[in-house]
Amino acid sequence: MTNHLTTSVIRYIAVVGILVLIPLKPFAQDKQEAKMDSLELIINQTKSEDKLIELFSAQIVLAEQMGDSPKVAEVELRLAKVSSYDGIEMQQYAKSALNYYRTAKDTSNMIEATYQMAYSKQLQNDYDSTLFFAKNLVSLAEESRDTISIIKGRLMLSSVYNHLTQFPESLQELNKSKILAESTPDNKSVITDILNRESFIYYSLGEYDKSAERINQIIEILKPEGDARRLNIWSNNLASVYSLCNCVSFDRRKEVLKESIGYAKQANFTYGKAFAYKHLADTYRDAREFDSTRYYLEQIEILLPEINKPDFTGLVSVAQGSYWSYVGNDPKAIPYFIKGYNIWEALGKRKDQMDIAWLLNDIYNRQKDYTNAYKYLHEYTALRDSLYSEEKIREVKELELSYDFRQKQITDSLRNQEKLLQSEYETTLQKRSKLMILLVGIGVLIIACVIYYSFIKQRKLAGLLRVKSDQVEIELKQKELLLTEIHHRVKNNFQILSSLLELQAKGVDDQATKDRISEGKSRVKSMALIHSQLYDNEGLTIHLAEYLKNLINEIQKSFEGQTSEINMDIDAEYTLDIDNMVPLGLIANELVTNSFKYGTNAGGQLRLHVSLHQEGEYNVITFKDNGPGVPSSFDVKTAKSTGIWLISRLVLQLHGHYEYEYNDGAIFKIYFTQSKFLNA
Amino acid sequence: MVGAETLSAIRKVLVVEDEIIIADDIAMTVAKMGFHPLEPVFDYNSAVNSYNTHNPDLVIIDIRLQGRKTGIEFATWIRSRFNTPIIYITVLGGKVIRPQAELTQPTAYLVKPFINQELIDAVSSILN
Repeated sequence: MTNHLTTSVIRYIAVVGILVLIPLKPFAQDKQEAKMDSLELIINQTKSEDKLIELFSAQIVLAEQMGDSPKVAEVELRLAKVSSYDGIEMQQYAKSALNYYRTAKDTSNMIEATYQMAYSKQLQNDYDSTLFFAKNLVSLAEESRDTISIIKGRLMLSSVYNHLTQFPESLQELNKSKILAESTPDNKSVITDILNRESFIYYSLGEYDKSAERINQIIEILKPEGDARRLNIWSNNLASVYSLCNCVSFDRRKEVLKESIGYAKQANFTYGKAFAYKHLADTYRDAREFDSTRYYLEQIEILLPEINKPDFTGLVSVAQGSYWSYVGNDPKAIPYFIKGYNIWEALGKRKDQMDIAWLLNDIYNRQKDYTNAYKYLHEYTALRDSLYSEEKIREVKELELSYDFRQKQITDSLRNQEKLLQSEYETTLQKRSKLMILLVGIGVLIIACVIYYSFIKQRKLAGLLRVKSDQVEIELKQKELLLTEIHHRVKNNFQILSSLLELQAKGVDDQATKDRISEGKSRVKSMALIHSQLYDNEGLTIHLAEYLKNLINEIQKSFEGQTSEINMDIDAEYTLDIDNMVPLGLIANELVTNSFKYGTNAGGQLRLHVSLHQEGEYNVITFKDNGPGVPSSFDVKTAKSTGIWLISRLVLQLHGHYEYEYNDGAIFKIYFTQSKFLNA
Repeated sequence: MVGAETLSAIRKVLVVEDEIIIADDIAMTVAKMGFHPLEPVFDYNSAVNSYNTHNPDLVIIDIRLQGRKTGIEFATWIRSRFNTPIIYITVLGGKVIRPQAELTQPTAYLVKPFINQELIDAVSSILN
């Protein structure tokens, strides 16, 4: 449908093109050129011969208008090549082109045009003219050393000589062509073609040994290409020729056919295999090995339904009948002969039908079944009479048309057979592609199964993972709960410690002891603060500035009535890990408490300045107040258990030291390092 | 030389503990008992140095120290060379740590928080 539509569209475009073209004639030359180009474009996409002829004709009209003679000749030659239905049109165009190229002395195109002339004459059965142009072609081609054209010419000559039954001349041309072809590259198909023609001529001449020799050569050429199908066909042909020539042993014939069967199996070519079986059965029959004959005939019977070709079935039926008749089993032979008889009748093969009628007459006579014997004798006579009269007419006709007509028929039938085989080959290919589709389908199914299976497995696995992760989550929650509980208990324990100390103080009257216990409570408090900040932070680090702010607030609470101005210069983001924070917190507690206690003995407001800076490998926290400072009589070594002694010990744990100076207030500098793994 | 004899007569105790407050507490208890506590150390390397310098008669070791190496590793170091008695003090009463610690054949194993008397009993049973 689509193809038809496309060609209609093309035709429409072409017609419109022509209509548009004619009025445009007086206008611009280049417009015509553009038209020509667009026609060329359409031609390149067109395959239908009819449409091509139309398009080429349009081009010729256009080229004539443009006065472009070379283009006219070129298109004419192309037109000649596509007009193949009869030779008349071809001759007309080829002649015109040839005339032009002769004047233009364009040899290569002259060769082309001459070939088309010869071919057109051959199509018209004008063999004398064909010979004339073909000879012209050969001499022109020989002049310009155009080997391929020489071969083309000689093959045409050979073909014409064949038609004229001048076989020696024909063979001579073929031989010359063969010698030429042997020196050209890619010559296999040409040589095969030549050998094919030679074998056919020798076959026609009854020189079966020479025919067989050519077929053998063809087979040798085909072998390396491994085309099993063609090898099977030619092996069958060879066997067929061998059966006629009596020039080789039965063993050789069997060998050829067994090879042929091998090729047929390789090419999956049932028909070819059946033919080989048929020839093999014939060979065994000729060799009088009847068991084997019967075996191979039975093998063919098995293949018949698959082949489903009436003429082959007919052939096999006759062979079966002949076999049974030959081995003296007439009752078995009769059904086969009748089957063959009916098939030939249906196919209109009267000569074959007549032969079987005679055989059946003979058999029924032997069986003393005279009714049937008479019936088939009658048929035989009727068929012979009609064939005889037909044959007479044909003989007359043959005299008129010369002997070549029959030859042509045989050639055509051979070609048809090849075409038939080709179409069968295509159906086999189709079958094979169907099988392929089936296999691919199965493959896809298997893959789908595998994917489905793995999907199920994946889902199972995902389920398992989900259960696991749920478990982990539950455990995590339990741990979190436990951590909260422990935090709570630690805080509570700090409170208990503080309360125990408070209770201790309740029973004591001595102020100094009370102060000591109060100091202890303060130290516990400074540690509890770290812990609570740690709990809020959910990490193992503490923000120093925030901690100090909280600590100072707490200490402030226990010094009621004391006013203070706290000045802190510490980066809010600066953090310490807990191992360092505990001693540093205790140190800060001591220093801030001291400032509150002694820093205001002048009666004024406490001014406390806390800052952090870097000094080489050390971080330094500086505490400065506006108090009187440490008494000059104070000695750390002898004042164990005082705050300053505690500081001197704690800085060791921080791998640092402290410095004290007085400058309008006490200044304490705490040097410490943050490196946790000193000896890691 | 008399001075040296006198010095050697006083038993030396090395305390390896990363919390100086606890270390000082232990050291003071030891001093009250009439022994000589060395300056406390906080980590493995300092402990090895101190041991090599002073050759103590008793080592009291916290299992958790500053740095990556543990008190058990220090005890192992000692055991590979000397028979010096060892007392462990630790909060880690765990199932894994205890057997490891036992391998170094400690004389006592005190779990924090301990009271002074426990420590005094342990030290005196070794040095008296």
